[in-house]
Amino acid sequence: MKTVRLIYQKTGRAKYISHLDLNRLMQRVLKRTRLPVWYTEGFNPHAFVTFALPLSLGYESRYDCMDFRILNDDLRNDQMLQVLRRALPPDIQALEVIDPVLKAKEVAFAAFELELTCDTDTAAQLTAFLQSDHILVEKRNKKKEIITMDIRSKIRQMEIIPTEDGLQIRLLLPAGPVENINPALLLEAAENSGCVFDVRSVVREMLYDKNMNIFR
Amino acid sequence: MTELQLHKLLRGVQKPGRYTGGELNSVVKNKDAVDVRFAFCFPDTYEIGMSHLGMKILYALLNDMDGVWCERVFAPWVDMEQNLRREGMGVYALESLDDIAQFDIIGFTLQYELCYTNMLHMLDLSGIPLHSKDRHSLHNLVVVGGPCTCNAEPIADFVDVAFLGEGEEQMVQFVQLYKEYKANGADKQSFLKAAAQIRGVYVPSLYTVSYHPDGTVEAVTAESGAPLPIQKYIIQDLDTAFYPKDFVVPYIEVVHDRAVEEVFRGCIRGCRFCQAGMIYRPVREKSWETVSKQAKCLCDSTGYEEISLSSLSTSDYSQLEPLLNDMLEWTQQDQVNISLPSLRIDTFSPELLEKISRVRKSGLIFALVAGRQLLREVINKNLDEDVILQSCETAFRGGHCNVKLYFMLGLPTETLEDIEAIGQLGQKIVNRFYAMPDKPKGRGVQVSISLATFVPKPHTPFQWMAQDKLQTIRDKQRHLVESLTTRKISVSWHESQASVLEAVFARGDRRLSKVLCRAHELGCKFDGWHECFDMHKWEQAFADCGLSIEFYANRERSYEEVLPWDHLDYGITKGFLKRENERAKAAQTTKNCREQCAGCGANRLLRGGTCFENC
Repeated sequence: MKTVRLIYQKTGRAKYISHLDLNRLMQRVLKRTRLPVWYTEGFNPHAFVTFALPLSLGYESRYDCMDFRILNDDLRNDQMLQVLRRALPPDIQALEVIDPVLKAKEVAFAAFELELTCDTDTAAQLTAFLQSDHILVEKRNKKKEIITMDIRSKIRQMEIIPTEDGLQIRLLLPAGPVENINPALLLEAAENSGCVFDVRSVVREMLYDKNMNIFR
Repeated sequence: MTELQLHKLLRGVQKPGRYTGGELNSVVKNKDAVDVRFAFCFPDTYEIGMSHLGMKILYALLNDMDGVWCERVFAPWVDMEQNLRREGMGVYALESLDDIAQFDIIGFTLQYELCYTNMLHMLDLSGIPLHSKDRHSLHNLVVVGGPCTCNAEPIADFVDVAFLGEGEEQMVQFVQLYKEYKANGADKQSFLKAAAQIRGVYVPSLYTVSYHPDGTVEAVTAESGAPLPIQKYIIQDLDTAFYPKDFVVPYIEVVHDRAVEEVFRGCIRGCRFCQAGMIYRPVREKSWETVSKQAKCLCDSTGYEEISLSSLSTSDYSQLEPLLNDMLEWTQQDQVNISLPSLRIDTFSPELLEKISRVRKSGLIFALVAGRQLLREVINKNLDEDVILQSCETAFRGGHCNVKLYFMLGLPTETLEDIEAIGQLGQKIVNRFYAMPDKPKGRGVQVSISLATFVPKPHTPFQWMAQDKLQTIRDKQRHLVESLTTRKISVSWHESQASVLEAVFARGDRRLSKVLCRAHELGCKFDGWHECFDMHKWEQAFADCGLSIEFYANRERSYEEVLPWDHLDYGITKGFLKRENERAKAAQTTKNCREQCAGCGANRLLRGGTCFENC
């Protein structure tokens, strides 16, 4: 038995699939492939899968990972990729099947690309807000208490690019089991500061480990 | 609709996955290359509609036709409705995201009476005129099917065509005819006249109903050579009938999220309250080889981890033993669970329980319907108490410590003793558990009693009976709860006001179209959902139209009365229904079809004219 990692994109209408639904979907995808996948042996046998990092409902992803176990060690990764491609719905595209290099818990950063629509005044206001020294947001910690946090210091990289009808924001944020910052927090803070804009899309572009190696 | 428009539309909507489409196995065609666009509408939420087998069959069937594209449409929930109005959009189909107003044929499947307002609501949101007479062209033809069309009269003013019976063959003929008429630029009226000649196609506008001064029907007359009565369509041979090779697999969790394989149609039992047991006659089985093959094909194409063997009473399938043995060969290997949704308690054996629990264990529900032996004889639910208790013990031994029992309140001849008997039966089941020397350790027993309200339905032996008044039903519910002495038994029930409305529309006449229209204007929708249902609005709608709820729900009809659905022939004869009603009054049971033919008349629909060898 070996563990393999599927790298896939989740775009278009697939962004409306929640994490829980994605889990169920992947169960069925694996079943359709008829690959010799390892099933748990409890009361409710199911394919054992692990996602590197759950994605919020409404976000697209250009690089996502799911691990599963395969009983036949001789199966080649490219063979599995072929059958997975056929079994996945159109808006979820398999990119690669690899032998995992890193453990799922080693995800440390995620890159996002946000497309906002707003007028030019708001764009300027928003840019100033995002570039200020402190951005305070309210967040629930693991004990469910509401804490105030300065999110500015958490943003590892930020690039703000004016577009025809608003802004494109590229962010590198902490992600994973240790610390996880959802870009929605930043947008919420911006809204609370009085900026009026539409979020056209949020795309998670890439996952990295703590040394900024691509998560593989 | 563009992705961006969809994104805007879905902002703030709960469960956006209901409205996006794009699921595996959904069919996308080039709309410019098809001749007929068919919007298959389910007038309830996505989760309910996507659980419905009939829609899956017809969706696959229509999309198999050349030049036809069938798409799915569901009723938008109230939050989505607001967004649609905000964006100035109508109800749209999930495959193309096009408004239903762009479709040639708009079909609704009517599974229960309380969805009628949703049909109007959906048409209205897309700006389609509600009344058949106001839609002048062949475009936007509104058609309906499903069990409710066995009395299509309350919706007669709205629909152009109602399909009676089973759709697999009739639908193909109908759509083919539509294609020809559309290509020739024909008008709606000439098409409807021609369509009425297809077996099972009922065109309400070709019939005139006259009434007596007391509001009962005087007569129904046909125009333009339309048939009278209109006979339902049935499939002669299920082995060769169309069955889908795949299902659309939803992303979000739906009510019945599994593959479904139909094993037979009709029911041998003849329970007198049960409409399905009457209108789907005669009984026709699929061979076990076909069932197993089709089931395997569905599991492979969908990846479902569960397959349900569907029918009105699956344990009555004559080939269940060879079927299960054959299916277990592949289901165990593929980690697929078999579920038998409609088990009769008297056919429930340890062997059967073991087979269906092989991969995963699921819950057990038994429909006992009445608590006392005598009342079970009245309704022809032929179950002995000993058998019930024995089967519960079997379930306990199999590790099922929770059993769910289903009963009906308000059955004809029912007394308070019958009500108490429900609780007593529950108590006997609890006692049986504790009397078992080898009862499962460390776990208690839980008997859940679920109560429905009896609704007299057309085409059943009880079609002449009055429904209990609302207050009587409520008294009975309270009486049962008060008679219980243990917490091992829990009781739950549905809102009975809605059952009153169901009774009205189940046996209603054409005059009710006015009430439906008025209720729709008053904002009635999703009447099957307690959070949306508003009885006051309905009472107002009836008052505004000068019609009475009691006339339809609580009035006993005489055998002489012309019933609003008498011109719709479902095979079973009125003579048979009368006989059965009389036997009910005398508490006489009738044997099941396999034991002895009761002469219901449905065999006339079969080529050869016999359902069983002993007919």
